[in-house]
Amino acid sequence: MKIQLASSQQFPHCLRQAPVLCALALLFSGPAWAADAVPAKAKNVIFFLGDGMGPVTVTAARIYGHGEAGRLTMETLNRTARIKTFSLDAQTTDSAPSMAAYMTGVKMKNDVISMSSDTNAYDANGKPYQVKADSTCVAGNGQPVQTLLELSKGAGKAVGAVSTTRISHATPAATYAHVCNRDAYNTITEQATPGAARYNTALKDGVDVLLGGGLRHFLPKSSAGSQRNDELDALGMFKAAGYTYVASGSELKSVNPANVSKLLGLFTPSDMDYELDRVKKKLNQPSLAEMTEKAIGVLKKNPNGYFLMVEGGRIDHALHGTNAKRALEDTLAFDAAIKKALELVDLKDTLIVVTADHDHAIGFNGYPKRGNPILGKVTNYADGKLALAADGKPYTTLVFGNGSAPRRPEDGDLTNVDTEADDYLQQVGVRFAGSPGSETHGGGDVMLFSAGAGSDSFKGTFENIKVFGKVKNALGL
Amino acid sequence: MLAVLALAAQAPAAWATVSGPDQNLQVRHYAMTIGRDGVKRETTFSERVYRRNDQVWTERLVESESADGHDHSDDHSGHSHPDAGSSPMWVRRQADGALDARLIERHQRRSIKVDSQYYGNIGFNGNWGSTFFLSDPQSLKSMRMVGALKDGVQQYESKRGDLTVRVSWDVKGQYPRRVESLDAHGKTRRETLVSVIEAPKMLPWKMLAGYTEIDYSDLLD
Repeated sequence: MKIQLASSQQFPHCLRQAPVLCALALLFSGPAWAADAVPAKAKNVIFFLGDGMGPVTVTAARIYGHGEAGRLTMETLNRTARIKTFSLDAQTTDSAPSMAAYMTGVKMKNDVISMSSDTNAYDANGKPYQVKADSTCVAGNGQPVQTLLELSKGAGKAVGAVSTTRISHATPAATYAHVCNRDAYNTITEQATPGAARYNTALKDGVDVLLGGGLRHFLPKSSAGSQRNDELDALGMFKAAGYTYVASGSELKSVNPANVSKLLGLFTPSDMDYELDRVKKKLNQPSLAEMTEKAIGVLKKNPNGYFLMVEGGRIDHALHGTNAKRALEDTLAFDAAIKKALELVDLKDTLIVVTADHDHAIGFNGYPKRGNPILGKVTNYADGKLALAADGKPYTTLVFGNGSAPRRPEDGDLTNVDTEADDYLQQVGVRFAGSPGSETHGGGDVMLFSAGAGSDSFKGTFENIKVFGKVKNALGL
Repeated sequence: MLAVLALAAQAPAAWATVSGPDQNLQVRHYAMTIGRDGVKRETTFSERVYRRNDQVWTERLVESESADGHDHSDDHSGHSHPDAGSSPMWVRRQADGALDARLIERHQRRSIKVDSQYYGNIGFNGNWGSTFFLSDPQSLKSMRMVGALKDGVQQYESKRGDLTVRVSWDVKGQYPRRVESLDAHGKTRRETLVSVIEAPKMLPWKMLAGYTEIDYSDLLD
């Protein structure tokens, strides 16, 4: 696979642009590790991506976990920025081009994974370039563009991708694969499989750590539970390439990173379970924090450093379902992974970036009093009484701009409904033919938090494609 | 699905082994509220329910659907989500009691298998009792029997606060002919009327040859 290099760095380091001024600034910047002065160059990068984790979700998760005046770990990072997320052809992006924008610096169309801007995910008749998770992309339909993970691998660093979705899902795929339609899960898996015909050779000896769900795309067609259309034994090929393979939370716990150089963990056939269910049902799946810890443990052994992407992927899925509780639980699990990483790394040589790929149509309603449960009905701050809508019924603080109630065409009366229950689905504004799960992404800007080496340039308001150059510069690549 | 009729959250394991007689039903839902703004809001919709032994097909009646059952509207909807509200839902109970729930998208000729962790997303409560019988017979046990069996129908009633629920249960047919819930102030009322209809010439789940099978999770972006 020939990979097209992205355009030159958009935000070169100050030493390259104005070396004298920059040197003076460094001279008078006080101790090298003062709180507001961090090294310009990062040996390691951990890129945290909360899928769909827009500003309201962050605020709601803060209140849910720590109260109004509390702080999420991500909010303790000292650099903040605001990111414009539009894709090449849509005001509201999906995860494929938005994560690819971060990873490649190239704006692409919705549903495209790390390809050039001229790539189409659908043919002229609107037919997707994939059939049953196999790519049907045609020659000439765009070119792959280099990702931060590939650049890092090329520089001799260790690389990894961790997600709570299937590991071939759009966000993790955008770090290591190139395909014109994101739904080609089998093809994406093959691109990560050492020795496979369509292996992405830019990954050299392979992505060092891959942890998430999606086992069914790694099994040959003849195996039970496979969703492949061929007999490619991707799992067997990973093992043959020297990967340690784990299939459960307990197996991952038993991994000693000191003894492992390549790690593959596939914990579920499809996506991993929501954090709420993982905990309540005592499922033998690792938390995102546990996966992050093991990934860092394996990758940090490389003397050249590492690039790690960690995705809280199911925040987005719960939001699509207008199930705010599971979205907030997954956001807190994502935040716990950030906390774990901060305990394990040295910010003097490591850049931490935390952001989202896009927003959702979730809204924060009314004038609820301080201390009101964020999943609860609005009780007025003035008198503590239930606030009532025009129909005389109470409503919740969190609602969605679109979506639908489950197979019911009218709003229910929430008076006697426990809106803090696990399966409660929020009320919605614009209805989409009664289809929960179809709530859309939002086109609003998202937040970016960062800290550590090379984080100084992560401030202001800029497009998602600019993040690529900032991370690349921080790595000195 | 049919949330107003799902009166109990879970059926005991023993009940999961029990089936009722085959039925072909038309279900008409009506809901009314009068807001404090003085506006009366009414909604109605109808579904057809076909049940056979260990499977149930529930389908909302949508007039815009063409006679051949195909919606020929634009099929290019990007990374689309299934229309869980108006798509037919097909639920089968396996030998071990586990459910296999699917949404059927005729215009895309695909059967979407929904894993239990996504039941909430599509508004399915995962309860075989309320899916198959429309009113979970277990929930009737917590209601007060009103009068004696008459014309094959047993009346049930329950009151919780201002809310009254009444069920007219067809004992032989094992389905509710009518379910009504209303508040004491006349501000809200729901009614579900169930009638027997002719069996279809071919059961809908036998017309899925050539349909692509995908997982609901494949459609989450």
